[in-house]
Amino acid sequence: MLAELDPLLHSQLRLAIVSLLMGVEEADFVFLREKTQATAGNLSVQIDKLSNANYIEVLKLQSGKRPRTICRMTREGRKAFENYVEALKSYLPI
Amino acid sequence: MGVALSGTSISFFIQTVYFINQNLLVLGVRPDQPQHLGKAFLSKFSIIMNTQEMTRQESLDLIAEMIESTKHRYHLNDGNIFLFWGYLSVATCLLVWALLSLTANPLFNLLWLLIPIFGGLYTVFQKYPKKNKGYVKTFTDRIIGTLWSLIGSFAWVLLIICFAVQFFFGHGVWFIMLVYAFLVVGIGSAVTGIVVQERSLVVGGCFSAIAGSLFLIAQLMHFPMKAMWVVPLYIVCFMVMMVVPGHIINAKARRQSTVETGTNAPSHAC
Repeated sequence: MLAELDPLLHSQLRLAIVSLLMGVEEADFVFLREKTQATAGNLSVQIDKLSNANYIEVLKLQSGKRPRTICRMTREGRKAFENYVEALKSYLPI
Repeated sequence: MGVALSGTSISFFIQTVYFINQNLLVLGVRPDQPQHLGKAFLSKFSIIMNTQEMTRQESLDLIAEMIESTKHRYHLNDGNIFLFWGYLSVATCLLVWALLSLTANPLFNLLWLLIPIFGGLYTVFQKYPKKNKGYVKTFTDRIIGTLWSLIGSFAWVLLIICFAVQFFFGHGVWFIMLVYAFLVVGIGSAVTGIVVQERSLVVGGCFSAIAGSLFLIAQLMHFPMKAMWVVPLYIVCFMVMMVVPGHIINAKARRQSTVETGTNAPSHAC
C-alpha cells in the first residue's frame, strides 16, 4: 500500500522552503529567497500557505528601519516533513 | 498621434492575449478557466522555483539540494565578532594600563567596563545581518550563542560579587576577573573552536586557559601581580585566542566565497 503524499509539501517551492528550514533553526525571508531563487511574491504566498497549515511559524521583526520576516519549522511541520519523506520512500526503492 | 497610439495599444493588447492563450494551451490549461491563471503563469515563468508538482525522484533531489545548500552553515561565516572582542579587550587593557601608570588613580579601573558595554552592544547589533543579507540560525549557532551568553552572564555575576566584596568587606578580589578573562573565556574559545572545527580557536583558547591557571596559582602563592607581566600576558592571550583566530576565520571565509562564486568578489568579512 503506497502512502499518500502530502499535497501541501508536494510542490517545488514549498518543499524547498521546508527542506531548508529543516536543516536550520530559523531563517529569514532574504535567506530563503537567495536559496530558492524564487520571486518575493511567490515566496511570500507559499510561506503564507505553510504558515496557515501551521507547518512553519512566521515572526515579523523590526530590524532597524526595515521589517524582517523570520521563519522556523513547527513541531507539526517537522512531523509532516518526516511523513512526506517516509511516503516518498514507499514509492522508491531506497 | 492619438489614433496611432490607440492602434499601438490595441495591437499590444491583442498580442498579449494571444501570447497568454498560447502559453496556457502549452501548459494544458484552458483559457476559459481563470482560476488556473496564477498557477499556469507561476509554473511557466518562474525561473527556478515554482509551485508545480514534481515526480518522487525530483522531490528527493530537491530535498537533498536544499539540505546541501545549508551544510556550510556548520562553520562560522566570519570572525568579526572575535576580532571586535579581541581588539576591544587589548585596547582597553592598554588604555587602563597607560592611565594607571600616568595617574596612579585606581578609579581608572572602572574603564574595564568598556569591554562588556561596547562588546555587548556590538554583539546585539550584529545579530541580524545588514540590508539584503540573508539571516539564518543553525543548531551550531544556537550552541555557540548559548555558550557565550552563559560566559557573558557569568562575567556580570562575578563583577557584582567583586563590587559587593569590596563594598561590604573592603577587600579587593579583582584578580578573579583576570582569572575569568584567561580561564573562562579561554575555555569558551576552545569549545567554540571544537564545535565549528576551527583549530586556531582551540589552540588559542587552551593557551589562554593554561595561562589563567598559572595566573591563579601565582595568586595563591602570593606572587606579586605587576603590570609588567600581567598586561603583556593579557594582551598575548586575547591576541592568541581571539584576534588571530578571527583573522584566520575571515581569510577562510574569503577563500570559500571565492570558490563558491568563482570570482574575487570581496567577502562581507573584514
